[in-house]
Formats: sequence, structure tokens, C-alpha cells
Amino acid sequence: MTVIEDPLAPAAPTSEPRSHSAVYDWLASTEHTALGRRFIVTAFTFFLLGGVLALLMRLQLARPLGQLLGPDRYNQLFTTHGSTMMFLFAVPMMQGLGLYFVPLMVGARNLAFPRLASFAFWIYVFGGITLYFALLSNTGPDAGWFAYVPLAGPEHSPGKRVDVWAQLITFTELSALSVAVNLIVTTFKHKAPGLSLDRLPIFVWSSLVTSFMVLFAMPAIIVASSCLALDRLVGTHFFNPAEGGDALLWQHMFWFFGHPEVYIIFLPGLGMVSEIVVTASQRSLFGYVPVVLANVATAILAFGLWVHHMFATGLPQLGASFFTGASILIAIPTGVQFFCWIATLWGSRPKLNAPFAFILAFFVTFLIGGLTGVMLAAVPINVQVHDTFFVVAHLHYVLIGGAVFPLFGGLSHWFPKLTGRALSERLGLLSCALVFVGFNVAFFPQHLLGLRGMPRRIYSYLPETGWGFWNLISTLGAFTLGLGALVFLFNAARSLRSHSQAPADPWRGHSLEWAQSSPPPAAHEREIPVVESRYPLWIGALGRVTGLAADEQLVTRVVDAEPDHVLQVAEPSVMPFFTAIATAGLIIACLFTPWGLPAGLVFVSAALVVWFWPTDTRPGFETKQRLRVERSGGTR
Amino acid sequence: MTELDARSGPVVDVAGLPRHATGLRTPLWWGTILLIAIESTCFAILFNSYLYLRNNFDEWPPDERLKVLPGACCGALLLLTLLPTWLYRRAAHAEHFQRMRRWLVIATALSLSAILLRIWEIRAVPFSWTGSAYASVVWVSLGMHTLEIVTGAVESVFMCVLLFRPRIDLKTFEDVESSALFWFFSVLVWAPFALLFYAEASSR
Repeated sequence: MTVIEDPLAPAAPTSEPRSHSAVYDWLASTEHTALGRRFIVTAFTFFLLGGVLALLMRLQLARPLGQLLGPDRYNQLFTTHGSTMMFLFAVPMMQGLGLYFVPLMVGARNLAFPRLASFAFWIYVFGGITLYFALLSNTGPDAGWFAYVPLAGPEHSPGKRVDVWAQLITFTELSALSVAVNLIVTTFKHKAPGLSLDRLPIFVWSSLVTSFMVLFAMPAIIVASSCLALDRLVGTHFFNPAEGGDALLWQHMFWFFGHPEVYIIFLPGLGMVSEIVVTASQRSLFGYVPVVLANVATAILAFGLWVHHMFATGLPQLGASFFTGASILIAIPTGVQFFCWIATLWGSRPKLNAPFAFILAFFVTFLIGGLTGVMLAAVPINVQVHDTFFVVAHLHYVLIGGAVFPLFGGLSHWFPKLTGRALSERLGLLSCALVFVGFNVAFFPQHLLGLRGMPRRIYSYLPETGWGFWNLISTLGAFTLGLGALVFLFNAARSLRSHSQAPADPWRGHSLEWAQSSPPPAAHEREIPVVESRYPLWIGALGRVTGLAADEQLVTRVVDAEPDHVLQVAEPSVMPFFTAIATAGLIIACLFTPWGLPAGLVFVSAALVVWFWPTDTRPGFETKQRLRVERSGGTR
Repeated sequence: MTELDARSGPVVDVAGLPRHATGLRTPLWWGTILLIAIESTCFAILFNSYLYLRNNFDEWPPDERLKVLPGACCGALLLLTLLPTWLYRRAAHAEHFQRMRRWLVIATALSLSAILLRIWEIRAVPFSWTGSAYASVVWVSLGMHTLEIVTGAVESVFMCVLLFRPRIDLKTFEDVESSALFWFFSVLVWAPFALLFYAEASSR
């Protein structure tokens, strides 16, 4: 043990880092780029799986009296499709991009809590595996992605299918909350000197705002799904009207989460749109402050309109009117962003490359989704088309239009930074064209089907309904969309196999990620920049921070990003992985017995103790000497 | 060559900056506050569920009344733990090790005692969670808060063990301060529940 002269001075670290196997290093990695990439790849895998389920459903509905799937399997497929796209694709994908790019864009070396991000990844993976294992063993959830009671209650859904859904929520929300906390604190406390809040790139702002939404929305679904699981497992009566419970309480709790969830999914997408528009036009964003305020306003308003999902439940008229007003109001901040993008592009000469093509596709599709959203905010229309394919069309226009098109644009834009390779422009444009045409052919006819009365969540229909033609067209569109996604994937795989190194800044970007090589250097090799403007690569000189050891991270002040102190970065550790295993064991055990909770907590606690046990590699002091000095009146 | 290689802007030397800090300067403090925000929302939703379900009953509470004494004793002791918690938080902020350790041990002992009283409180609940929606929401609130304080107490015990090791990380001051912040939340979040549950239980 180190003996030190000054008892109040920090003692030197007492142990040296050990070398480990490649598997250990992979499991232990806490590098934000590695974790971000893992999130992105895993989420894209779930996107493909959810897409396959969608295509199976479209095949079933392509003709009247389809024979491919029975009603029970169909119920499992649409529930798993919705749950996959919401919980295993959209949110983790957006958060994965945040994990990768937020530290780069704010000039940080790593995340504020890198081990927590590692835990978030593993718990997310285990949740996804649980869902698909259940589906393949004919125990897939079958009560819809929103699991309405009383259908999802113990009386009408015996067995473990709904419990699997409820526990999927626990897995994925634990992950989402862990990432949200990480992104907020990284943005607040690890910005490069000079990168004050009013200079943050818009993608970072949208990621920050979204993370705050996650913080306040996800607890609602955690409480709701826990209450549902308890109703089913131990006989509580939260949602049982016979004992004073309330089915509408479920809907309130679910949609208090569920509606903000929509914005949680597409606000990062809008952030990507801003980044690509600025880069494509080579101009500063028109209305930076209004765009930031529009993000914040959307986040606040998003919590005030969940009841428009419940207009068909017979609410008091005053309540319905209020939520109609709020639902229409939220179109305003989104409109502000639209006009700011148009003004930025106005008169510029953007090159029609793949990222920008996806953004143009976004403009059209998201606008249509927004307009049908305003229609659905009106009670008479809402009640008329409730639970029809019109709503299916609307939500896909909003979510694919608002999130998937910008996401494909963002992935194309940032692919060189993610991988060090450039995508083929021709294949990129081809995939964009296929996805855009396929999407519109698949989903626009669903508006018509809904207006003609075709309900959602039916596995078959009669030829006399007259729905066959548009369903066939919709199925053809869905396969075209799927082909477009495959071309995108092929483009990525082809680029990864090529040997051409992408330049650090292929688009002449404005923000800090483009100042790093492609892909960026490891965290401990990365230098912290000093910035002087909102567009640090375009305006003002770019400086650098000195005096930082390889394992140190700079902490700056929240608002003005002035340097405050220096922290040692947490070392890589396998304990997040093992803690995630223990937590997964707890969650899965709770599917079968309430005793899974106390038993699981023992293992989780043990894992956490090892996780947080000091390794004596940080600055510290000898206890005895410190006590001796303090007793003799020494102070710091 | 990247922009960083070619830069010519200002150089900021951080070699002289402190290598640790306490309070709201630290990322951990912010992380703790955000964790508190998450859990506050969970408890707020449960609290609202209680109020929402009340509309479904002509008589409220519908089941046998909660016994006030065990709940009051547990609540009082939980409030009492806040005093040593405040003192060890202050000592941690000032980086006074001896004082911090002393008050943390006292606070931990009181927290563990409060958990014993909580067991008494739980055993005194005169109905099962299967009785009605009221019984369910009371049991789940009580259970969720018990999990909260048990987690906090286990964390305090862990901190105490660390503070008796021969070598202490400087970061421990920051950890202990955050732990205190979390315990404050864990105790105070129960106040609206306890007031509502026991006020309604003692009303005629």
C-alpha cells in the first residue's frame, strides 16, 4: 500500500490495470461508440424482424379469406410487431444514435455513466430475446401493443402471453431510462469548453428534450404494466371493475406514456432533419431559437393530449374539447420547424444525395401524417374512424414518416462516421426511391380502407366487403418497402466490405463529430476541443484542451460550459453484463411467481456490490492518517 | 487530416483544475436528481391511481380501516432519520471524513430500525390486497415504498462498509452526498401517501 507524506493529499492508485481476453474486453466495453453501434445494429435487427411480421400480416390480408395465418397466430403477430417497432426498434435506435453521437457532438470523451449504458444495452437485448423466444414457443403476447384490459386481464387472457408483454416493458423501459439519464447528464456536464447551451447542435437538443420526455413518460407504463402483472399474478384488482378497479385507469396510464412515446420516437428524427438540412444547404439554420423552443413546446404539449386516444370511451364533452384543442395545438411547433427548414433551404443549392433524398421523402410523408393527425383530433372524425385502418395509416405516416425516413437519412449521413466507410450514392438513392414508393403504396390505400369501414386487427375479411383490391395494392407496396430496406442493408454491407477509407468530413459538416476521424478514435485517445461558435467547424477557430490524462474526462458547467473539474472515467467492467443477467433472471422469474422479486433482488444486489466495489485505482487517502489529522484539528 | 489536427484556436489548460468535486457540480448529483424525477413520477402516478379509484366506491375506505399507530411510528422514525442524514450530507460536502462516517452510521442504524417498524406497519394492515381495488392500491403503495427504503438502507450499509476500509476513494464524498439526497427523497415521497391513507383511515 502506498505511504504518503501528506495525509490529506490524494493517495496514488494501488493496483495496475490487468489485461483480459478479447471476449472479456467485448463484454466489458464501456466505450460510447461501441455501445451506440451495438444499440443501432440490434435495433435494426429488430426492425427487420418486425418487418417480417408485418409482411406476413400483409400476405394474410392480401386477399379476402386468406389462409396463411389463423386468428390466434395473427393476434400474436400484430402484437409482437407493434411492441417490437415501438420498444425494440424505434426508441433503442434513436437512443443508440444518441449514445454514439451526443458525446461526439458535444466534444466529450465518453458518456457520464458508461457502465450504466452498458447495462442498458444488455437488459434491452435480454428483453428482445425474451419476446421472440415467447413468440416462437407460441406464447407471444396477443392483446395488442397497448394490452387493453379487460382483454389483457386474468379472466380473458389466461396463460403467460400478456405477462411476457408486461415484462418486456420492464426490460425495455429500464434500458430507455438508463440511456436517457446518461444522455441528459452527458449533455449537461461534459460539453466542450465554449459549447454553451445556446450553441448545441439541434440533434443534441432534440436528444436532450426526448430524454426528458422518457424520464416522465416511461414511469407511467412501468407502473401500469406492474399493476397489470400484479392483477394477473397475485390477484390485485387495479383494473377489475367487479372489485372497484377501473379499465379506463389502464387507458389513462397507458396513453399518458403512449402519446409522448410518439414524440419520443420522432423528435430525434426531426433533429436529424435539422442537421441534414443545414449540411445540405451549407447554411446556418434559419430560426435556431424557434426550433429549439418548438422541441421544448412539443415535449410539454405531448403530455397534455393523451386522452385523444380515448375519445370513443364516452368522456365528458368538456374534457374531449380540451384534448381536441391540445391535439390541434401541437401541430404549431412542428409547423414552426417545417417553416424553418424551408427557409433554410430557400434559395440554396442542396445536392440531391441519399441523406437529403430521405429528408425530402420525410417532408411529404410526415406532412400527410400530421394532417391526418389534425383530422383525428376532431372528436366526430375520431369516433367515426376509431379502430379502423385509417388510424393504422395515420400512425404509420407519422412514425415511419417522422422517424424512419429521417433515420435512414441520418444513417446515410453519419455512416462514414459510424464505420469509416462511405455508402454508395446510387444504391442509397435507389433504396430511398423504393422505400418512399413502397411506403406510400402500402399505407395510403389504408386511409381508404379505413374510411370504407375496415377495422384494425382482423385476420380475415369477406370478398363482399370490397376491401380486396386496396389490400392487394397495400401488400404489394409493403413488399416494395421491404425491398427498399434490403437494398439499404445491402448498400451498408457492401460498403463495410470495401477497403476505401471515408474522409473525416465528407459533407463539409458544421458540428464537432466531423472534427474527429472516421470512425472516431477511442475515448482515451480523443482530444477535447474548445469552440467559439454555434457552428464550430464553419465559424471561429477550433481550440483544444490540454492537461488531461488519458483516463480523465472534463466536467463543465451546465449553461456556459466553463471548465469546472476533472473526473476519472469509469474503467470497463463486465459487471453491467452480469447485473443485467441477474435482473433478467428476476424479471423472468416474476412471470411465474411473486417470489422471483425477493430472490432476484439478492442476486441483483450481489452483482451491484461487485460493480461498485472500489478498485483502488482512483485518487484516495489512507483512512487512519486522515482520521488522525482531522482529530488533531486539520482541515482541508 | 481532421479539423482537430489543423486547429489554431484557443488552448485551455485544465491541469490545475480539481480532480473531484461535490454537490451539483458533479455528474453524479445530476444523475441522482434524474433518478429522483423518475421515481417521483412513479409515485405520483400511483397516488393519482388511488384518487382515481376512489370515484368507484360509495364508501371509502371500503375495507377495514388501517391502524394508525404503526404507520405513525414508522413515519416518525423515518422523519427522524433525516437529521443525521442532513448532518452526514453536510460533512460529506465539506469533506470531513470522521463526521461524515459517524453520522452515516447513526443514520443507517435509524433507517434499519425504521424498516423494522415498517414490518410492524405491514403486519398491522387488516386486509389482503385481494380484497378490493382500494386494498390493492394501498398494498402496492406500501410495498413500493418499502422497496424504496430497503434499497436506500442497503445502500447506506454498503457505504458504511466502504468507509471502514483502510483506503478510501476521494469520490466517496460525492457518493455519500448523493446517497443522502436519495434518502431524503425516499422518506419525503411517502409523506403524501401516509397523510392520505391514515387521515382517511381515521376519518368517520
